[in-house]
Amino acid sequence: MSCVVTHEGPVASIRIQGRFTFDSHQPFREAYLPLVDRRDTKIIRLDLAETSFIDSSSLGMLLLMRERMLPVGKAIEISGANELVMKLLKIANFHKMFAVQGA
Amino acid sequence: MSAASETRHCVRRILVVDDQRTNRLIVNTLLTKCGFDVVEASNGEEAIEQYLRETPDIILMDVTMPGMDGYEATRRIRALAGEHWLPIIFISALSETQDLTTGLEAGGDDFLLKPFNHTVLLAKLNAFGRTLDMQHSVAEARRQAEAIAENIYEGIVVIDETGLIQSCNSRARSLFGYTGDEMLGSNVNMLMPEPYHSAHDGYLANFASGGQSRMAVLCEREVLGKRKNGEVFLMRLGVSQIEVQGKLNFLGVVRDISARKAAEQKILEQTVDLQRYQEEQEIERSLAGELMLRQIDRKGTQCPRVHRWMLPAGHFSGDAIACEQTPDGRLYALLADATGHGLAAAVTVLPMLTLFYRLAGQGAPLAEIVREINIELRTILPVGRFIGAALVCVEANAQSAEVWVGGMPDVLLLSDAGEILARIPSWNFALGTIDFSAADLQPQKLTTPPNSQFVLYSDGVVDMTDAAGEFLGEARLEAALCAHPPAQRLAVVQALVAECQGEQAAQDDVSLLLVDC
Repeated sequence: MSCVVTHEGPVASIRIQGRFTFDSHQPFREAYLPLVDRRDTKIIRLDLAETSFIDSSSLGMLLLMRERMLPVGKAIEISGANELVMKLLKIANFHKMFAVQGA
Repeated sequence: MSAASETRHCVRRILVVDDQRTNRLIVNTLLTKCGFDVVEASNGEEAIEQYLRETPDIILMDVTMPGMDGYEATRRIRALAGEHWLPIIFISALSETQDLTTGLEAGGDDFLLKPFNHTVLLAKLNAFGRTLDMQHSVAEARRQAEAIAENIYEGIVVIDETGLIQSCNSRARSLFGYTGDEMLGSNVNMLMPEPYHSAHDGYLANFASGGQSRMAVLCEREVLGKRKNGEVFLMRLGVSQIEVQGKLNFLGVVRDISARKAAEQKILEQTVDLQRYQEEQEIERSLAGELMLRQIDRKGTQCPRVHRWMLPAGHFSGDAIACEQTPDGRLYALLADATGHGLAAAVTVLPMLTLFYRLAGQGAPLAEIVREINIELRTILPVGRFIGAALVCVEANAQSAEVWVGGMPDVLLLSDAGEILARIPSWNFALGTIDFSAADLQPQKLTTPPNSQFVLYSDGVVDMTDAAGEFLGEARLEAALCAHPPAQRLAVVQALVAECQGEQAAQDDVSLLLVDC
């Protein structure tokens, strides 16, 4: 799993490649933590187009990220989830908590 | 390249010193014709100036000249040239032959009597050319050897047979922290800590007399060195025997390996730490597994209407099953999947199970059980930790039931014949994610025909992949369940999972819970 961060105006995209699971804790944190203090970043888009799988640990990481981003007024969007990832997001009802594209 | 042309190459410029203009002209014409580059001087002072300015390869020096004579000029040029050798040939009249010794003492290399024979002059120039050429290539070879020795990564120290340092390269100097002056001529035992410092002269004497240590000396090994600042370090030393001008010398090649050894030691320590950590981890994981087993095997799980199967990925990967029957016959069942695994997951699951057993034992409504567990988990769990859960409560008369699902796969209600009577999706967040509203807590109410059966499973069942990377998937699971009567469904799912898993290690906990109505 690897995270690639790109910036386009107010949108910072985190592209998550591979299996987004328990082992992804460190790279994911390293990807989003610098965004907390980035003034020009208003929206954080998690690009899951290349994410093959998520588990409860990565869902937990999403909650942690949300906890950090809400107080500094940054919105989180989730996009590109494949069928399986979308199913797992929906089982956890994350589409009610995050703006999930295609949910 | 022929010897002659090499000579020509080496002797290019000749300084002709003579106070007689005619003499200079004759020699100049001859030598220029032969391809030499000729510069002239008419007395001793001019000779020195021209030597410095033109850097000739050979000087033809007249002896008697007004002002500074040829001897004095030669002495001064020799002094200026230092170690650099250039042939100086005196040209003198017959009457001056008695002074030839003086000339040679002044630093001349040869002489020619005036009037001189051209063939003899050219032959002498050629002979000196060859000598210069040889000297040039020796100097070049030596310069190369020195450059290599200076720039090589290893320190090089040469000692004589009594142990005195004959030469050392810059790496050796920096390695031991001494200057060249401090090392040259000193006993090499200055570079060794005790007891080698005191014993080294003995080693050498023993070696010189053909003693047993001969083989031990001439091999590469790890030894201790001592720097000027007193620091003792581990180095790799290779010693070979060389002969210099008929004398036995030893050449030592030294590499500081203290940093490498320290790194190796650190890796070793880290490996031990890692191993200890893994053992502790293993103990924790088995403790977690043990704790969960004790909870799950409590009285309630023995009730005959509940059929459960768990295939843990490790000791404990976060799945938990519990059930409880009240004295009046109401049946509660719970299937949960906590984030994380091992002890961390176990400590989040245990308070949930404790609350579940207590409230279910009292016959509390499902909504109240969910609310209490959620409040407790919201209090104790950090953000990012939660528990997906599906709860079923079947009334004592087995005609109706309530189901609550949060963060778990669909709960199914199957008829005796295998039709899907109801599918209850996860309308809610997992336990511990958010504070629930009253609406969130409301379970779904269902009527349950005779011999109908609830099916609860963790995502480990459908998200497992076979060797080809294909997911087991809901469709295959549901097809297998629907094709069999209630009593066979557990075995059917076990077979399906075994087939999909094949030889692979378990990926996630696989949990299945069937509740008869």
